[in-house]
Amino acid sequence: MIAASAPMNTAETPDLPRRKPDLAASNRVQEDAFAPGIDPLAEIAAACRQGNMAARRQLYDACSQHVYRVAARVAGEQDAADVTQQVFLQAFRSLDKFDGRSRVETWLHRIAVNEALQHLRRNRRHKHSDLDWEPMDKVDSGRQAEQKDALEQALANIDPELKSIFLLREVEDYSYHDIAESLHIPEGTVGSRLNRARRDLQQQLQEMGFSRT
Amino acid sequence: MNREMDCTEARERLSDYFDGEMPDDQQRAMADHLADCESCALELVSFADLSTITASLDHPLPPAGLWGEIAAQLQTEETLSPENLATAQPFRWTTGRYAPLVMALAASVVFAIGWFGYQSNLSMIGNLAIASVFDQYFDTLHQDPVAAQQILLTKYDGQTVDAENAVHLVGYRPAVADGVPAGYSLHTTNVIRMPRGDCVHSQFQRADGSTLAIFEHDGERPAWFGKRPATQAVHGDKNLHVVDVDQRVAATWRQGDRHLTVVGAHNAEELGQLAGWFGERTNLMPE
Repeated sequence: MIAASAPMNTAETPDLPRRKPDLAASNRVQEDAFAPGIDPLAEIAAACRQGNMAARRQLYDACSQHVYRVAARVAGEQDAADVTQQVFLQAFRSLDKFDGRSRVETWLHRIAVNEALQHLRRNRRHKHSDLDWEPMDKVDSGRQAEQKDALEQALANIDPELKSIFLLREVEDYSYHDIAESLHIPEGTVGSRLNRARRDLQQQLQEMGFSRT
Repeated sequence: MNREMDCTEARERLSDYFDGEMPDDQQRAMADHLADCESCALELVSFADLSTITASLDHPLPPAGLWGEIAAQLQTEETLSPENLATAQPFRWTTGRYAPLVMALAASVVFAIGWFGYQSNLSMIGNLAIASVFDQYFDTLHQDPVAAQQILLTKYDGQTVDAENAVHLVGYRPAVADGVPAGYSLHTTNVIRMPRGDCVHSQFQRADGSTLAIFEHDGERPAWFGKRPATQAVHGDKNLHVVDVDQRVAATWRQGDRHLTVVGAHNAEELGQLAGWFGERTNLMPE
């Protein structure tokens, strides 16, 4: 039998726990309003290529929150602004090389993840308990805040590549196809990597006393 | 008829199912399995719990001035790009009674812009040149410290001195003149005439024969590190600007009235120990 904490519906159409789209993802560019295959940012990107500053600003406004979020989660909030700046500079410099085979947003996220991971690798050698690094702001209190802190801590401990995949799925609401494209990995491996990420995180939360299973 | 799924397959495909990335027929098989298997169902619940906590995470927003910094950087790059210089429109000369006045004013403006542009380009070119010399120094230091030292002595006017006598050249007693941390032996000290002011350059050997260099100088010298990104770290009351230099780490921090730059540290721990050691020495020194 299933434990009481896991309400299950075994009827013809089972109501098993499934992932709901994240609120943060609602800020993404509304692709549904466009015909399939049409990238809503393609025109803006074309104008950016001509050096149009207003278009560049539009692209920044459309994507900076997502880029910054990836940068903050992967490289750490203290370095997120630097990473975001590098991502956009690199994107504007290399827009000529963007072949349009993926969406502009996916392409930008690929740069963001790569830049954040590189930043993390570069700085990993610097990290030592003898040096204090700027902590992230903590504004919540109580059990929820403790749980969030525990997850932040667990995220800081897992493999950065797994963390990127987990965040692209859970925070950015990326499909497996988009994750594979963003990270240049086979689409067939996304699910198994997500399994590993979720199990690693869950195990750490459990060890910190924050899991009911 | 539905296909059956065992625990091994269910565990492998659990994220696919949870994320709605599974074909319908497999979803049905997974749902049947989960209805009968407590451990797989509990793991699915744990995925859902994790998702709930993740959804509650704060999502930091980019700082308000970030676009301004990016735009400024883009404009600087484009102003200096060769394409821009090549396609610049030629001046069209004006005619008429005010022509001499306009030309005189234009000449002053051109001279002023030219002068500031010239100075700014000189400074940029100077920084690039310094970064290039230090690139060679960083590349050579680990393999051949004597050759690395020679790069600086050749490029800039410099001389090898003992630490005590450096005071006559730079006007202050270098930090290394008061001893070195345990585990290091002082190999050489030079005073080097750098464009932004003299600096005292010392090389030390560790017990394993590897080399560490320490520069003492007025003001910060970020140009030495070119475009390498710097990270800020705090040790006690000191702010360290830490830079990756190939397989080693370098850092600059303020030490009394001057700055120390360590090149060739193994890691942050060694930097912390050195910052602590020099900090204590300074605190022991009489005012």
